[in-house]
Amino acid sequence: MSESSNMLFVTVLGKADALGDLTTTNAATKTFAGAGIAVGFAAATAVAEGTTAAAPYTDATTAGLADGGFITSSQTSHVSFDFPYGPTPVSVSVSTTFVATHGVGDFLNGRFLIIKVHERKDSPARTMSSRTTSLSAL
Amino acid sequence: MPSANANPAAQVNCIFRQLPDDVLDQIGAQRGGAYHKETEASGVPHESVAAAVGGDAVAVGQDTVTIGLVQNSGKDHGGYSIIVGDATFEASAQAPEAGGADAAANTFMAVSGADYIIKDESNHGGSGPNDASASSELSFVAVNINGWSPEGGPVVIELHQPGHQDRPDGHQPTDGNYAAVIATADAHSADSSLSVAQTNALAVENQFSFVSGIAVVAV
Repeated sequence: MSESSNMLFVTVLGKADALGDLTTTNAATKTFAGAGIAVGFAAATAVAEGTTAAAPYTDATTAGLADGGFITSSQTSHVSFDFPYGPTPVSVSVSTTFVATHGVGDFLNGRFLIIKVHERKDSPARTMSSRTTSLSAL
Repeated sequence: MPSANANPAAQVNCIFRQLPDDVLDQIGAQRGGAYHKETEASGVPHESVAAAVGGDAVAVGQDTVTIGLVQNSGKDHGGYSIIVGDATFEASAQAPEAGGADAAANTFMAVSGADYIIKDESNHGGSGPNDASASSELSFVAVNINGWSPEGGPVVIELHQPGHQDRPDGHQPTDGNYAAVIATADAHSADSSLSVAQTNALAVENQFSFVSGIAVVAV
């Protein structure tokens, strides 16, 4: 049985791992929900510097989910780079995810909202979050 | 000549069967089992090989489904490097009015620095008064032998499967507009390596859905 709702929903997550002699990681998420729109953004960065004896390792992952609006979109990007040369080999991973869902229409008009709720009951617009993974083994 | 249904390991072994014995000895590989055999540093300078694979799918109609999957994995085995990738994109649409549904799917690839490339691509599509569907599949294997190249330059073997006007075995749209895409890129190398994956997905209620994805690997 379908459920009807006028709720916009976004969720994002980010994770960064780094292993090495000198490491730094940062994972940040931000969500915003306003009148007729909900947006989520996640970014994760991992940087590791290793030694000639112990190679560095990094991994950054972000993901997100948006649902409920008439227009739903997501963009993901993941870049991982390993440079093992010299006395201090370096590994870098960066991942970003952006998701948004728009409750387009006259959201100030309650009657219109009710109409759209019934439409959504049979025709929900949904974008599944995209996921990217990257592994580099030395 | 590998068959269109051969798995990547069989295709790599097919490539290695074409290599001269002295080249196999130099890179420490063996016929028939080269794909899984790790080699030590052969003393031959490392050569970089890069490959990008991706695609997109779009469906227009009241109820639409677009799905994409991209995988790209590269590994440096010491004397040689192998990149295996594939992309599958499907689109389906239904509309209550005649001619109100359309669907398209596309895949692509690009390889740089490889000695052998085996590419297998197929496209399917079909449409009716109130529905349309399309799918595109592409898989490839790229092999680079460090310090050696085939006479006449890189060898490209295409296992193209012509398109059919049949309905693909895809996802028939249920109520709603659905877009999902996954892209993975893996790079394994003792030398420098790069992996990049990007995806986009968009769904508009009662109108259309769209996905695109690309994965790039360099080892």
